[in-house]
Amino acid sequence: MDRSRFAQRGNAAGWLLVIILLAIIIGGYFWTQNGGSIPVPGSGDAPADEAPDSDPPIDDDGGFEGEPDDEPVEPAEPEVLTDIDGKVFSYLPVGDLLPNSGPGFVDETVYRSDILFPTEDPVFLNSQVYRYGGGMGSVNGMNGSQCDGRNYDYPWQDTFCEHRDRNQPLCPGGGHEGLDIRPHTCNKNAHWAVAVEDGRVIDVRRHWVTIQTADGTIYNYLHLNMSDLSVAEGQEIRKGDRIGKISNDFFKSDGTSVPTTTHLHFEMYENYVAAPGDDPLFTKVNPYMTLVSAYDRKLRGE
Amino acid sequence: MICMKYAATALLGAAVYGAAAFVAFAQTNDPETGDRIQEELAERAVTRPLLKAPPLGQPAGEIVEDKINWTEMRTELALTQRREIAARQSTTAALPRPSGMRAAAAETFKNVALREVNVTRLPVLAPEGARVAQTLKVYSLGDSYSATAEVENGVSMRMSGTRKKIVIGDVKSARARLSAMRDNRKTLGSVSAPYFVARSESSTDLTFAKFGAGYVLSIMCDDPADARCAEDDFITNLASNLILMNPEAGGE
Repeated sequence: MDRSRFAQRGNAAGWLLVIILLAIIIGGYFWTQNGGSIPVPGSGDAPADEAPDSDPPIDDDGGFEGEPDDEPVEPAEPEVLTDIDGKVFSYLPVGDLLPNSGPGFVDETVYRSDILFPTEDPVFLNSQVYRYGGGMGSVNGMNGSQCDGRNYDYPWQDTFCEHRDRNQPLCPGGGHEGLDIRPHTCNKNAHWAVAVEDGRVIDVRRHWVTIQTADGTIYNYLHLNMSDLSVAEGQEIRKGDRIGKISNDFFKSDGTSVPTTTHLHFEMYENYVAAPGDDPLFTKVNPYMTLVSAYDRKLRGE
Repeated sequence: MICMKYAATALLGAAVYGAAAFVAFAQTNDPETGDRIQEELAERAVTRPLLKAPPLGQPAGEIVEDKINWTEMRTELALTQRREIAARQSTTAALPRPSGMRAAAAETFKNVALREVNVTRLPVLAPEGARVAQTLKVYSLGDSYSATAEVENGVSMRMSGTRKKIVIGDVKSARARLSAMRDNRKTLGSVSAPYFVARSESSTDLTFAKFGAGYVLSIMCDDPADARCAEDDFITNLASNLILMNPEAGGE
């Protein structure tokens, strides 16, 4: 009898141990998936003083100033820049990435003040990996589909130096040295990417189209619909010429397809110096503010 | 008895760890966390006034053109030739072929159009290699050019050069990191030029400045974890043996 009770106690202790071990394994797995940390949303600096007050002034009794109280109130004209859908264009400062997605790289330089924005339609710059539908969306509680409407809205967010596998000098901790641009809608092969400057198509391979300008600047367009491009290698192109439609093409050199979301990955190389006499660095640069500037001009019809 | 105490302590610690991990998981997979982040982003976002909009960012400065040092280019060619002769004449057996820059006429590459090389106003460089030679193409824009080729199975390359450079001035917070990049440069033996390697999702890039021009050699691997892209050896070896396709150019 005593032996049986001892055996029962042993069984109970064993089951308890199994349950605890399972908890450790499962908990540890998700802990690892979350990068070993609990995300702290909104850790970036908030440029609150830069945000203009877009609300119309309100008088003491709740009506708009200058409006007779008993007449219907006309909706105020927006005082801020909007896109063709009437959505207010807004963006986060350069280097202000999503929580848990990397260190960012603050570079406020507008490298080219006269380029055309690389798409015909309104677009949304944000993460393909750390948001809804992305492989790491869960670390920010953003589980869902890439077509989630919240991905197709402002504000824009920088993704240069977003965390990836490989370390490199510009992005400590690994980096994504380009910007991800979601097209106007989640439909692939529906929205055009266009040439930002006059130049020449110097490379069309796998899932990229590369353009170079006379002063050496290189623009890389990745994930277009490569089977239906409007340009060919070696062709001279003019600013605004259509290149191809934004898609999710991503190929290895043997033609094997790699899954990705529908987006344009946009890169820019510059040969730059801090002072005219310096040796130049010819590297990828963060095009975020260059694109914010180009989009601003696009929305103004300039 | 002591063993029991240790076991109990270990189990208690494991339970606390597991519980903490569950809390973290529950928080991050909570859709409300996503919604809260979205709200925070919207609050921090900047809009643009319709009228009297302030300028955006920090405009880059002028684009300047460097004078190409053609004499230095010919000196580098001569230096490589001298090293090769010295290696051939050496009594030591099996000396490796010295690295360096060698002349190779554009006509010898079946996919290179001669006029593309002839109109380029800077030294046209590309890496050596049998597969590169078979697949090499050059596209010129006068003051800049790019050469593209397959290097090996699963690796392609693009080498670009330009004699124009953009003066960006004070890059504010980026200045320290850019300065560190410059300070960490090593010397590329083939052309005696400082270089550094950068990696990203789409390519591994080696950049150097020589003869008054800026160059970047990019290699693209099928698999980013491929050692040929993930480590420096492959790309530095490529850049250590360069061909010069317009050795007769210059005289400006």
